[in-house]
Amino acid sequence: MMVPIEASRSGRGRRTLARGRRVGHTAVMDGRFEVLDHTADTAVRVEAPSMEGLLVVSARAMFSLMFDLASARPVSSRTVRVEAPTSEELLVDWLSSLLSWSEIDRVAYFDVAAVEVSGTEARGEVRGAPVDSLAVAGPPIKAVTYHGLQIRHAASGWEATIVFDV
Amino acid sequence: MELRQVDPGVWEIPREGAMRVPGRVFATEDLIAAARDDQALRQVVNVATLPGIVVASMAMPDIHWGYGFPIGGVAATDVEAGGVISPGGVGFDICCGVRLLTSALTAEDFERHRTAIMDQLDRAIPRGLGEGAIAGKALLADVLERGAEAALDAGFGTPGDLERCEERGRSPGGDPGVISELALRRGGRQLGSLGAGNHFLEVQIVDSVHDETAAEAFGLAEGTMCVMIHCGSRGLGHQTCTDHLKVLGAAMARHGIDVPDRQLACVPVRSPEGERYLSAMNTSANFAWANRHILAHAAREAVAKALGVDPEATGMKLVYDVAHNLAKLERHVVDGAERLVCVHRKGATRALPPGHPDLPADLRPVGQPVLIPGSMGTASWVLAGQPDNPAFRSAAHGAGRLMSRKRALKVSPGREVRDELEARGISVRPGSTKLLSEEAPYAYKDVDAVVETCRLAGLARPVARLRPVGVVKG
Repeated sequence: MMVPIEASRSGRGRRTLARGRRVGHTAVMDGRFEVLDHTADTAVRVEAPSMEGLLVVSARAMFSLMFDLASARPVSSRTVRVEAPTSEELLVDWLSSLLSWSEIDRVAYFDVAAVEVSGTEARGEVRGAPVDSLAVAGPPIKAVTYHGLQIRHAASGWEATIVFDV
Repeated sequence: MELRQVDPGVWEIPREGAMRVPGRVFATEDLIAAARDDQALRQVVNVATLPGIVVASMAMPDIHWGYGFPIGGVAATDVEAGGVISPGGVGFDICCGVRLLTSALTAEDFERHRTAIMDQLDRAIPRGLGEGAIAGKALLADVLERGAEAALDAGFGTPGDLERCEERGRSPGGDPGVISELALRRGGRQLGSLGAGNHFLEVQIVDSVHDETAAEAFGLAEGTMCVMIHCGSRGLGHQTCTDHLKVLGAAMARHGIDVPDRQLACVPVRSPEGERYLSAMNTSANFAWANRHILAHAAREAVAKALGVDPEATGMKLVYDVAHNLAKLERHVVDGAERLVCVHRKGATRALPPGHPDLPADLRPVGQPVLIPGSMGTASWVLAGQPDNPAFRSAAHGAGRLMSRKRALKVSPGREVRDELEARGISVRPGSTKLLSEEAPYAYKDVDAVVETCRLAGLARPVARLRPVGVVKG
């Protein structure tokens, strides 16, 4: 079942960042994801209208594999910046970075408050809840893989399948 | 793709397209049928395209779909002929492996103290997402440099333990300076913790002995209580692999290398990037050797506490500690000449034959213990290395998954899985009851079939079968 990501929360649209400045609203969050079958690991297919949207939806998807986010409220935030030569690698690096900081800070950064993709760089402000406050939904993800990853143009915008090592 | 049986338990995928060598899968008909259902055989073909690969892209009987390499994949590359090293051939959980302890306790001793032993283990073994690690961060630098040796010097374990570890629990060239700050921060607080997923600590009873001489050398008699630990290098290893996949992915073009799956990113072993990855991998491996060593110490203390005796009185001694996610530089005869090859074992266990000089004197007559854990609630096996192993001295590493986690969750809820295990005499101490169903016995292949294929294909010979009586899960 595809899980829709709400267009905005608390009536506030997500915004893009340019050198830390608020520059306007974007519709990056009307995406969705579904969990796919993979023998050893876990895979998700994410869809979003833009690259920024893929980053937002995939972050939500990744943390929802590990935690029940139904009633989770973000209380901590962190800025994340990654650089990679291709969109695929940017997506993997983005999620890898969220995963690393999540384990270090012990915060599930499922909520992307703002994100901007500029050329080979992605910058975002992510928010999350302490992992100890969340119910477990699945085993911890060890890493984000590049296996079979391809970002494709789809009717709804962009689509990617991401395999996680668990 | 063509797949043909060439010997009992041996299948070959002939060379075609960009394959530099054929594919070779050690499996029975049932096991190969399971592998056909997903992309595992395609991954064997992909690995066959790696520069410098020799003999064949191999897969063990527990082959299943991984990322990049298949799980159960074995690939050796010729180091002095531009052969590559690939972090995807090691995996994110660098030096994940298994450690088995035997004891002076019997099945009857366990039954008399079942609840106390399981409760003490439940308290003593940190697992899941929580840090709760046993060793302090102060030990980290020394552990990264010296592995289990550093943990032993810090008071964990018993003298003689190192003799019973692959690499004596210390991979060469450990250097904390090659580990990224992120990896140190991520894994630094996890030394002496189990993790989650398919990692476990199990209490087992030797159920049957199939090779008396080897079993005696390993310290395994029928009815003996054992403890098996399965875990790896935790967040430190995961981050190290992530760091180097990015670097190697970018470096491939410079080396003129193209791979069919980005997860197979690789560079020549003899290149600056290759040497740096090898060093970081070995340093992370030292974390894993020490991690299992520290957990074994905690288990020994927990059992002693449950029995109200001194740890020495438990007679808990190391049978062996072996990795199943590692790349190693080894000497093998290839096409009639001895060569230095980089053997990737991604979900495969090293299996040294009798007489090998790297074995301690007491194991040399019988060969290296090969530890093959079954799925939760099913048997595990101890095998021994055989002469003329056809897979660069490798054997299987487990039962191998049959069912995705998503499908396993739908079969029955964790609570039912726990109740069923308890009804079968297996005490369960889960970190999360809900997650038990993902690791339920029905999600895995039959471990007995995997072991039988190892015997049939000359990978290793069965020594003892162990049945579970208690499991501590993440």
